[in-house]
Amino acid sequence: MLIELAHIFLIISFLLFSLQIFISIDYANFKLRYSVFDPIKKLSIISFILIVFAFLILIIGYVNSDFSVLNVYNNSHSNKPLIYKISGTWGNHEGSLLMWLSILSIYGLVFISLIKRVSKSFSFKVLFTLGIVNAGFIAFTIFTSNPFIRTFPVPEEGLGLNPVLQDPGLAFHPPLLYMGYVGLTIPFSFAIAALLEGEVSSSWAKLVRPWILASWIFLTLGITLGSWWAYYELGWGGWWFWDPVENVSLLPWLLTTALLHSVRVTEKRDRLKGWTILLAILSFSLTLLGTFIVRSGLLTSVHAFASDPARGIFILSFLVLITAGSLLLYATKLEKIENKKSIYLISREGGLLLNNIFLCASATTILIGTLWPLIIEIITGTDISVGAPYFKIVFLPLIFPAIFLSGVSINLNWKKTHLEDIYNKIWKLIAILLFFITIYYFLFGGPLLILLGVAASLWLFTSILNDFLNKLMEKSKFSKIKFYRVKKIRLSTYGMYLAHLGVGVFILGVSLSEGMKTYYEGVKTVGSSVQLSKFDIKFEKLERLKKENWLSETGIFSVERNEASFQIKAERRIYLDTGMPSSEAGIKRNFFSHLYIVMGQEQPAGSGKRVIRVYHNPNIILIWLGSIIMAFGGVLSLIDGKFKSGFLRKPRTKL
Amino acid sequence: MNFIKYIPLIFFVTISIFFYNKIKYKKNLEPLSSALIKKKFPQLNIYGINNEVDINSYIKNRSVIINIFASWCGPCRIEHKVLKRFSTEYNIIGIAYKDSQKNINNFLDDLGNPYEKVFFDSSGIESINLGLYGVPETFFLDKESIILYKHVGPINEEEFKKITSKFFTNTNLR
Amino acid sequence: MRYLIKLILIIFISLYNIVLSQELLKNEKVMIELASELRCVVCQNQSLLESDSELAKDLKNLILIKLSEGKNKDEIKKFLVERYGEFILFKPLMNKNNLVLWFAPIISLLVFTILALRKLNLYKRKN
Repeated sequence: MLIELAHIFLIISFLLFSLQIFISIDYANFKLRYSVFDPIKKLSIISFILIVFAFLILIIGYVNSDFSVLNVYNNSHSNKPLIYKISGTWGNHEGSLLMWLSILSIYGLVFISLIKRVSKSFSFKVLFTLGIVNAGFIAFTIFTSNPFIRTFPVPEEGLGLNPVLQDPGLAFHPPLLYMGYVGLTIPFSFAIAALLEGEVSSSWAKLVRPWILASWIFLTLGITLGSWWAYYELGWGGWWFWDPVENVSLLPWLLTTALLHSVRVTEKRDRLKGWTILLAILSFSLTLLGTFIVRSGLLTSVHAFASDPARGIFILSFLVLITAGSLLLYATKLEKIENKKSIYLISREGGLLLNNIFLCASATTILIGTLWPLIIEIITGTDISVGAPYFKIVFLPLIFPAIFLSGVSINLNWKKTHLEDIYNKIWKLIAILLFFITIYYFLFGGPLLILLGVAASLWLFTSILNDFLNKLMEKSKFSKIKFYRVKKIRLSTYGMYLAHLGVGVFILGVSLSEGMKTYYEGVKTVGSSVQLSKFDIKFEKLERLKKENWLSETGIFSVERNEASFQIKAERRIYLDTGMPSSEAGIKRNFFSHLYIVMGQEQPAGSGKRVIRVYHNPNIILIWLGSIIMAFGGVLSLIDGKFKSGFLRKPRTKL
Repeated sequence: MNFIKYIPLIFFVTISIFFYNKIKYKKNLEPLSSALIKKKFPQLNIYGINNEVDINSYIKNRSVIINIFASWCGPCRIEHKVLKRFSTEYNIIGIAYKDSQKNINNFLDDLGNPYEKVFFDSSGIESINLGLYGVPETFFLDKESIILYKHVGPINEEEFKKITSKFFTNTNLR
Repeated sequence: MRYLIKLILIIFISLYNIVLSQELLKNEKVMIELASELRCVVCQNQSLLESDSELAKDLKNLILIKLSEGKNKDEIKKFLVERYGEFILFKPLMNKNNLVLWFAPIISLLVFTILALRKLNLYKRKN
């Protein structure tokens, strides 16, 4: 019964949004009818709440293992632990769409609660845009991906969840990522509203920035969690595979980063309005493109199974409508919103603009690379692959200049910085940097790329430290560090420091782990040993056990290096409900490094021989640690924005 | 210079056209594109039961259908009936992949023998020359031993008919 | 005399083994490099190196055999492309068809730089 109610809720919210859109337009004059603002606002609130309830009801269906619901039957099983029953709700196409809608609804509700901050005309346009996006998604859900369809006769047991999804990392990866993706709908709506208003002001920028920041933080965390999950679950020792699905999540992140910088310039210097609006539109469009590519089966594999073409056409039409519509609006309104103010090169905004070049160029390149197999298939009919080697070759040269510019821009002031000031500030930086690089090179040697990577991270660290110290010593006659100034520096500045520090840590992690990693692969039996990077690894024994809902084969390895000795357990599982196998790598952490062992299945059966893979990844944790620091920096900036620039206080200027 | 602002729109519309193409015109036959299509069947070092003849000599100047299979392969058992059904109309040759003569004999005794002749690739290395992905796979050859089509995975009756009616016109048969 | 011959034989065989195993080790290293650049054609998106599938194992062995026959990386790649198509290469060929792909980074860099330059004032501001 409850399920039918949820179904009705969805339908009602679709009808309400459609109604909203219909009555908002004054067809005679082709304008928006502002008089309906209040009813629209109330209708939106109702629709949003109904959607959230519908989602909650679906979750209840999963928790109760209600197999009369087709979606629950297909994706759940009564043996699953409670938390995975819940996460199973979004571990499938239909459920995850409903989660998308719910998160969008929550964002919508938050926006409405803050609506007093902005003018009615502006909020109206934002709600109008949100209404269109919502209506499209709900329609897609109801007509092609309905989670509330029943099945008769009611099955005894569900088809079980993919064991690979029964994992904390993967359970929370979609929600986090979605909070990022979905969050971009708000900046998008703000951008459309601004275009419709014909004005992009710095107060607009100030208002939209927290939303962009929030999405960026979630995107960063979501992607990081995904990478971490792939690393320890998939057992290939890698943390990024340049897989189409991964690329498609990276693209919005790159553009949102560019957007974050661009909107700051608009806020502080009233410039780059066209860029900011375009970036807001494109980052949201790429989000749509991404989710849809993955769902329509267009790119999961060039040899895709015939997926439901009706679904694909629907998504594509929606995507085209929204994106082409917004880009057209952008092109027609650009002259109106853009000013002729120029940007002086040697300034913070100049640095940020240059930085954006590289971020956008790398995003464009990754987009083309990811879509290329599809394009070639259509044009020539042959299948080709564009994989990691290509992306590494093209991405790295584009990102290094961006990193370099980051360091420079941190030390530049808004508006203009005198060249002499630059020399003073930066030559010290460069001197310190060269010093460290030389030391590193003499101590460790190593391939050029790794050296560049370490240099890049050191550059960021020293740039940040440099600016921090300069702030503490500013206007001081005796070059004394005034520690009381530490408190005076704004939280958002610390946020910025931390975010870029995170980037530096990330790059350091990548360079060191890629440069110094070692790998062993071979067929071994119990009793044999492996040597890798001074580790002495002995395959002690094999245990066969029955656990909660799986049969386990655990390989026990004793490891010795120098004086340290410890044990690593690498497991293979067969899940009872689906019969599907999974492999759980054994990972031992030492500071920031990992020793990582994967045990394969017995082949041939009964021989005792297994393929054993051992990876030593020095300093690899810095990769995810760096990303988390980045996100944390974003949080600091967000908090500052909330309490200081009027997010919660009454605004000084209305739009 | 004013057209620059339309570039994102144009770029996006172009990409969408590609997407539309891909979704709409998903070819019905949906073959895994074989690098060997329209190329001559390669020289393989595999022989019949008593090593009397190699496969290339055997199929010379004849249009044949070559099916790569194994007794340990589940889907091969399923497609077997289809092969038997068409074995009277077409010359079907079998290549036993990573299997022993004994197992193959049992397999064919059990399920019937649709093959005019069976050749053996016990190591599986020779089949790599066919761009093998796994078993079963079926190759459709014309008189000049040119590969007209490759079907990956078990084949059903409908697909078989479609392929033969499309590729086996009178000019290249027998 | 026989003692001496045996000794020489032993030394000879040991040296041969050492050289051979060095060769094998080197071949294995090259095979691993190559396997990471080649796609496992029956997997979702893994490389030959990462894959555990039968075909991947067979292909890796084949690569080792070819390496010991003296073939180099390019020859082996060509061999595999002849049989599995360009699909098996993770690094797309730099041919006529892929021109746009390989020039994409430079061109997009150029495009965005031009767009940015239109906004930039490169000269000193007049105070």
